[in-house]
Amino acid sequence: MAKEKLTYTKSLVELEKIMHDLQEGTVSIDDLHLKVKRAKELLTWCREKLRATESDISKE
Amino acid sequence: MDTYSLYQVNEYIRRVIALNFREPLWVEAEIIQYKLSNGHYYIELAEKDTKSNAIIAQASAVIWVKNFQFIKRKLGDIVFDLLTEGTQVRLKCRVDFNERFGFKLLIEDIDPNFTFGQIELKRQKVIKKLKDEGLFYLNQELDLPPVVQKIAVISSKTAAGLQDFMNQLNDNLYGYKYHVQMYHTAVQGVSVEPEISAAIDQIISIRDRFDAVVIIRGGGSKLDLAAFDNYAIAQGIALSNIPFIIGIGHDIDSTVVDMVSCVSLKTPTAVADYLIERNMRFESEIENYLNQIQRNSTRILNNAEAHVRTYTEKLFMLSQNILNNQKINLNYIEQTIGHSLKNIVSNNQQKLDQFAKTIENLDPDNILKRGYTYTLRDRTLIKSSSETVKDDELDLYFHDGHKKIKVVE
Repeated sequence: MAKEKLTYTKSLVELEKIMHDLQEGTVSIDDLHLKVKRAKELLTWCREKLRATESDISKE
Repeated sequence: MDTYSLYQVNEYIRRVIALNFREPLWVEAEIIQYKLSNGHYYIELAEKDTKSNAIIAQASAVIWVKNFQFIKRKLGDIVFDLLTEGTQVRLKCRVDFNERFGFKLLIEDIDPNFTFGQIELKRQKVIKKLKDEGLFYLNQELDLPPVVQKIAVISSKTAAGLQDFMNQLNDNLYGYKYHVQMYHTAVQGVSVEPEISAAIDQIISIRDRFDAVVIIRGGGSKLDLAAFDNYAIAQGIALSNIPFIIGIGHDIDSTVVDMVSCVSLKTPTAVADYLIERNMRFESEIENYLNQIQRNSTRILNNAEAHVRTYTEKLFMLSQNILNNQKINLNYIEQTIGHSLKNIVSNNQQKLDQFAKTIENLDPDNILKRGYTYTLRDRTLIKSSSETVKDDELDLYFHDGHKKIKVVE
């Protein structure tokens, strides 16, 4: 599956959106765990990338 | 026409000059070259056309070691900053001509305020030009990405600040990694402009590889920093479309390069700290988001649960109500039926009582008790006096027995 490349900015924007959707109550209860899971994924990705060496990145 | 020996000519010139320049005088010029030899400073001075920048006057000058010591005592280390190529200076000179060595200005004193004034003047001109051309704020208006990790660093190989910067950046507490590409340039003197401009051009050609450009150098004097009041560099930064972060080691005055750049900090170390703190802030921001998302989703789930509970309770109450209503109906029906039954019963009772009374009244015994009697003959009831004749034997019945009687007449 061709996935759009993640960036810090995109992660931040997506997290903001998830937050916003939760606050606005536009997320269905069935999707809640998916949203939380996605938020965790984004955080993990950012944390790892912040500590990744250049060689780690070129392996991507 | 007379003919003279060279010495005669030169000697004549020397005398003309000596006669006309008895006193020292102040000369404004730019140092375009200098050389130190045995403690003496040999300097080439020039004046350039303000428009074309072409040299319109040039002269050799010298500060003899004895004069240099005097000036250095008076001005301190500033003298070294003043005596650099490209600096505008105001010099107290004796005009000297020597038959053997020719024309020379013998420098006796330097006016540092003139140079500072010139620098300020030039700087103001550069600022005005950048503003007039709409370049001044361009870099400041760029958004620094939330994480700065891929950095082009412009600095001198030998700059003291560079090592501090790299150490500070790489030894950060949080374990963040930074990907630095070095661009070595001069950070003082006349080479600053062409070298930094070239570095900026190279960086722009591969702009997407970087989050930001950092220009750093260790501390420098006010005059050293004048190299960063440079139009070409400022223009390069303004048009680069990549955020610049500056740490060129100054305390108070900020240079034009500082002013036009996205972020300006005092020292290379401060730049490193800034980059680390910024990434740390980013990380804690996304952590905060995750926390809030988790809290919110828990809240939403709890709310949903509470809703379900409320509905269940409502449902229970509603069914309870329906049941109660039905009970009330039944009671009502029961009561209504009871009433009707009682009525029916009591009505019938009255009728019965009536019957009983009537029947009682009709009872022959009761009639006999009231004093009435009846008469039989041969067990047949006599209903009329005409049915009897004289000497008929009849049975007369009372309520408590009967007697045989005889008709007398």
